[in-house]
Amino acid sequence: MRGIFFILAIAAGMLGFNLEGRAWSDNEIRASIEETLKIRHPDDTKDWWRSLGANTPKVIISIFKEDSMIYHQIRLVDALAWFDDPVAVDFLKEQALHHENTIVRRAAIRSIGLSQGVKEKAFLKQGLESSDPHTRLTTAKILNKLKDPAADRIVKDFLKTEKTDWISTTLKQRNNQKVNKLIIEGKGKKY
Amino acid sequence: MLTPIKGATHTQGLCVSLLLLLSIILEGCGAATTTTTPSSSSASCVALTGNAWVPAVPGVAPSNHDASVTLSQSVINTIGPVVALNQPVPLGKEIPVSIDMTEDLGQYGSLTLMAQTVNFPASLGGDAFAYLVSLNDGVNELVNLSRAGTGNDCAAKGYYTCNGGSCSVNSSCTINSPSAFFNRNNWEQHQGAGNSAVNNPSINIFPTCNWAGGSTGSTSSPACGFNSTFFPTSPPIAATPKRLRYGTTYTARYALLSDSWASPLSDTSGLKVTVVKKTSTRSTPGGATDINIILVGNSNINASRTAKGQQNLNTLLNDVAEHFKQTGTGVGIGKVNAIEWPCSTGGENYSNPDVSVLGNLFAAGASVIPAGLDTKAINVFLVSTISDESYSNSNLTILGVDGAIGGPVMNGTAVSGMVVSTFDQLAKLNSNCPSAAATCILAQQDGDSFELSSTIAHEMGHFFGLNHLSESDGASHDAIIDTPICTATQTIGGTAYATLNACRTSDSNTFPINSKTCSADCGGSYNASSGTFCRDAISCQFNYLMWWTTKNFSSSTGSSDNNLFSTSQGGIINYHPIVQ
Repeated sequence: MRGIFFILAIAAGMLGFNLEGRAWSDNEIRASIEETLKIRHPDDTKDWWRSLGANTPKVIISIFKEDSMIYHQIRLVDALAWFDDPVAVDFLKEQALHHENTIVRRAAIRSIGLSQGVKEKAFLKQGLESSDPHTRLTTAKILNKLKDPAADRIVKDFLKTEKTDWISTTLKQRNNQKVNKLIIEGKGKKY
Repeated sequence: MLTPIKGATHTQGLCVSLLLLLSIILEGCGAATTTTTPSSSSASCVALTGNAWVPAVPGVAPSNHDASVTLSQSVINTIGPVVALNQPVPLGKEIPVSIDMTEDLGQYGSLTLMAQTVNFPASLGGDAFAYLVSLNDGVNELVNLSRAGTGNDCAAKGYYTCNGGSCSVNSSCTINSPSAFFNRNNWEQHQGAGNSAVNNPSINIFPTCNWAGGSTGSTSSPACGFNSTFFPTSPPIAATPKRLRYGTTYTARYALLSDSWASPLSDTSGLKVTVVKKTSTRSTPGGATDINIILVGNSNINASRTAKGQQNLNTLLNDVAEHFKQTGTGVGIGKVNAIEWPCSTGGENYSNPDVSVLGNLFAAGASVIPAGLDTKAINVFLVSTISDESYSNSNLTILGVDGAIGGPVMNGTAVSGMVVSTFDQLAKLNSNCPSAAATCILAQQDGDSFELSSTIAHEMGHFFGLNHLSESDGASHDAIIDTPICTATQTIGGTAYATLNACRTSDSNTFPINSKTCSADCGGSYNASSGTFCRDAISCQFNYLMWWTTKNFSSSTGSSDNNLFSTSQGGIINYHPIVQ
């Protein structure tokens, strides 16, 4: 009986509904997000964020505007990666171009890449042309992560002209990275 | 036929090390303690400006160290068989190592064993973990794994069972009672299980605890194997104060477990065991630790070279010192060493790391840390941000990560320190704090500043051997007698979390120390948004520094949930060899 209840609870969550079968209110979404923002080493996934429902991007943006803590702002921008929402995309572009903190700007580029892929090729190319080497690297890494032939071509062209050694080294290492050890289930947790 | 599940793992780390070495050869070592680093001439690097930070943290002084504490270190090299993760490990496959324990280490003395595989056969690929599977003090077996070699235990069936590229715990290979470890998970944590075996030593610090009372197997009130059994109580060793057995030879036994093989092996490898003995004549907790602050990348270095950045760094370290000097812990800071890891010596490669390269970061960091700063200092790497791309469906930014629960007394390993994100804010935090102030008082600090210092202190707690009081799911706990547990959870997005609200309002566990539940102890007036907390409620987990999340620090109020260490947590910290 408990098992059935558990499955129903998860299914309800996945669809953005609470246990009474109604959609989460904005206040409930906010409370859930505020709990996850406290985590030092988060493990939330795309599915976790989407389970909060379609109103989530709006709530995320609202919290972002009220919360001045940089870690929280970065985590909120990270979360918008999982929503294909035009308001969210505009918001992310605004942050990528104008936020005063470089880490927030780069997080916004990453989220645009993850949520829009090569649809935002022109915008992402601006990241590759940034004067900040870490912004160039972030953009190239996210294009790389898309596993899309068009994105791969952009990165390949970028590497032909990128003069900063540690950027090209990092990207090449990522591409050649092989994880070759046995996985020990449930171990190797980072603290 | 031998079937490698997967091949070598150390290629990337080796490449990074070689590149770093090349970079040092070409550009020279620019970083040094509290000295001005020449601006980089490389076009790839942002220029460095200003003068290096010279730490000026109130209350930090070499005199905080206990002059009576001594540290001795010896290295034992031997060879022995390598076994696959799922291979039976009978006595003949274990590697014995004798440890001279003639000397009385004292009440707060400790024995630390750091073991690494060396000269691992290149033909096997990967590397091997050096698990401590037995430690005998001449009378007692301190690890006490089920390894008699009968049935399904560790000796008969191995430590893991493997299927394809994945292995899981052999559930019959368990920790018996009494043991220095509370369960198999607790033991494996100190053996480096699950991470890459490359440059990843097992680190075992004894004693692991020192409290009286409690009962074996209890979650809320566990017994300590040392106090219940292992500490000698009869002449010629005095009954009190309690300490490790001495005047004898200990025998440690190791198993070298390949991280890449799931079929029987018949190869041998080298084993290097570094034995560290901490001798202390103290009768109460105390002493101090030094801290190496390693500023990674030119962005953090430039921030640390501004007046505001220097004020903020002094503030952060002052807060960390405040956390550790509380009653029951009594640990001060003896010295803060400022170390720059600039772009010109490879620092930029690690200034925005993913968790997957933290082992490389910790190992490569040794190249910029001056020799001699590894035996009484903890390495705190300040990077711009840490990401976690472990999962294809996640996009995560992380506040801080510690290399190991109970970290090593040596630099250059994959777990030699902890790393914390500054988010490039070092020169921008605490704008309300007067520029003339040496450090910012709590009421003038930004939330980001306070959370950064408490994260550094929290990760240091891990390095000194502490776990979270309860993990995020509320299902596993730290097995310390005087910290509360919380099993109440709140389901968010389909995942159960032991949240502050769940622990505060619906946890039914009674804390044995004051016989109260958290809700009874905290009362009904808790309201974080209006600044009402219950800082004195010791039965509430969130009032401890090792609570698994950050707190509700309210900017400019100077109040929030507490950040306590319990007395027994303090005892564990005081056994760590870096605390002197």
